[in-house]
Amino acid sequence: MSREILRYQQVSKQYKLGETVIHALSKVSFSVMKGEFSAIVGPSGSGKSTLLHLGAGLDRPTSGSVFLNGQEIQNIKEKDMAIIRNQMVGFIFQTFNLIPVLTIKENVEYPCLLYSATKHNRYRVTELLELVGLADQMNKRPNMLSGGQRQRVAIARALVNNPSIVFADEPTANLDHATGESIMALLLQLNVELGTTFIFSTHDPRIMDKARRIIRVEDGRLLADTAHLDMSGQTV
Amino acid sequence: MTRLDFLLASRNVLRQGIRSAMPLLVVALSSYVIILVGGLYQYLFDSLEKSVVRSEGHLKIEAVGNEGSIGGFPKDVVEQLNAIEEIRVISLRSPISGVLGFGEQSSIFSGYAIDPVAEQMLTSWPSEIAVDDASHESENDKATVGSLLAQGLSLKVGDWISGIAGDASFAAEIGNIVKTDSEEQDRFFLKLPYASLGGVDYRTIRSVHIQVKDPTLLPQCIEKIKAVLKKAGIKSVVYTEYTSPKGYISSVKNIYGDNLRFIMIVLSVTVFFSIATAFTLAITERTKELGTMRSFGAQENHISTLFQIEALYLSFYGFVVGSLVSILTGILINQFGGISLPPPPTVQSSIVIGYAFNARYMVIALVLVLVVGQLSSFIVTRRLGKLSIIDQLGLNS
Repeated sequence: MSREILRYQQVSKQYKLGETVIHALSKVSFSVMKGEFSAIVGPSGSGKSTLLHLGAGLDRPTSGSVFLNGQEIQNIKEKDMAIIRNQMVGFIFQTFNLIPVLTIKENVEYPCLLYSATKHNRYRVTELLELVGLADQMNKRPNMLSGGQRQRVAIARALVNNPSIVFADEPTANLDHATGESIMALLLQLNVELGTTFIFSTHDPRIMDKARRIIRVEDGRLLADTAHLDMSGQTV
Repeated sequence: MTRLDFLLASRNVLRQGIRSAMPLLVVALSSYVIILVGGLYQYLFDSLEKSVVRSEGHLKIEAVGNEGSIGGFPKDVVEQLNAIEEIRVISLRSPISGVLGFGEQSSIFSGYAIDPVAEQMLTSWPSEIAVDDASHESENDKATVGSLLAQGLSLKVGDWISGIAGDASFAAEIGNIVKTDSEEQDRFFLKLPYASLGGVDYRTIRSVHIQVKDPTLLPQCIEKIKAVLKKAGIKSVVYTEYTSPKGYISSVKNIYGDNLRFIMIVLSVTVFFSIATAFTLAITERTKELGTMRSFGAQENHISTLFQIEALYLSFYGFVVGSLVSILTGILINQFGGISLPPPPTVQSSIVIGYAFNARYMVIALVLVLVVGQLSSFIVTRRLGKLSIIDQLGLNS
């Protein structure tokens, strides 16, 4: 059984901004294995976020293919893609993107309520909030929490449906350094404890040091890819 | 629709603050205007009907072409009409004209003779008034004079006038000086009780005004009246039904109803665009939230259902607020004596409009705000749903 969970194959992405065509990615290819804790690094506008959006099925490539769990996802119907995003993928935004009118618990619960929630899911909400250290804040609304706490909620939400892979788009960019460190430590802990694959983007050198694999992109091209290391630090 | 949809929708409505307040206020204002305008028109319709029924009855039977010695409505015919069980009251009226004098001054007059007891019964519609009370009041029945006629003869209440009407002479105390509908009528108007003319002269009765106990009984009542008149050989009569679907009140209502329909159409269009704009703004502001929901697996139908439910809540709450405030405004308008409008040409007294509750306008307002709310939220979510998740999240720049 293949350990590959995500594969980008000759992926290009172009955006049109007014009359200008932006080449966000040009023929990028690489794979991500199960259990990896990988960082996509590069300067602003290098294509990091675009890679995450394509991998998570939030966007579709202009050319090339993206395989998630062996399934080519760019041609999947939007309705089926929504189910994939709900059940196989978790996404952590730089700006947290919590739903302001819901409590912490309801925010975490949201993805699992979209498609027939089970009791197991609901127990998992409490478990995850305990894991991210917010069990005692679960009835508060996001605006009552600090930035770090909000990102912890976003992490719990990304994990609630037990996804195969979690994408995090600059998860520490809006946080101070100490909080950012604690968030990265939490992601690493979840990677080890739950075995969830994490792939995140950053341009902060102190954060990228936490990654076991660094994929470097610049101007939409893959520049370098370090050796694959598993949870124990062994080369895959 | 799931528990989540209702939970999210109610949370959004209750916790969105100003975002919810704006569409809610627009819906409330729209409902308010529709219900209030409808209520004011309803009052107009009700007071028109009440006023006509009180002054003319439900039915007027006029004698045509048998003036003079032939006699309008013989006594026995009137008695037979009075015996018809559906009839509440019959008021007889005879046109009179002649000369009246006061001191050294005199003037011609034109008006009619009445039976004050019957007239009082007529005006008491729809409440019941004891005949004894009416009779008691009638002991002091006096003449009613037009204000310009009174002015010309320097008459005041309590003065005694005398004169000749047709072949009868009269003397009566002035009980009331009134402004009639027009100055023309006002110059010559005189209303006398039959008593001051020596009793009812059945030959002079030109019109019989009939109020029925229940307006729905009018058709069968007319059949009975026709039978009585036919038996008495009175053929030359004209029936005027005031409350029937083709009657006077209905035709006036139709004229006003056309105005009301026009106003309601203009209001509906305004309401449509106001609510649609408010909902569009409220939903468009939340485009990023839609993107977030979709990034966690929400489908277009999840999102449109959510916004439909939100629109339902907002429309309903707005309607409730608008209805309550409009009814309250109506009560206040009535408390302060209504809205006084200037009199139309040829009419001397101003028109006072109050508020009358009518559930029909509440239904119209409710249906309108619900339909517009649903339609606009559906259109906006469909339009926003066509954006990619990246565009919705604003991550494409």
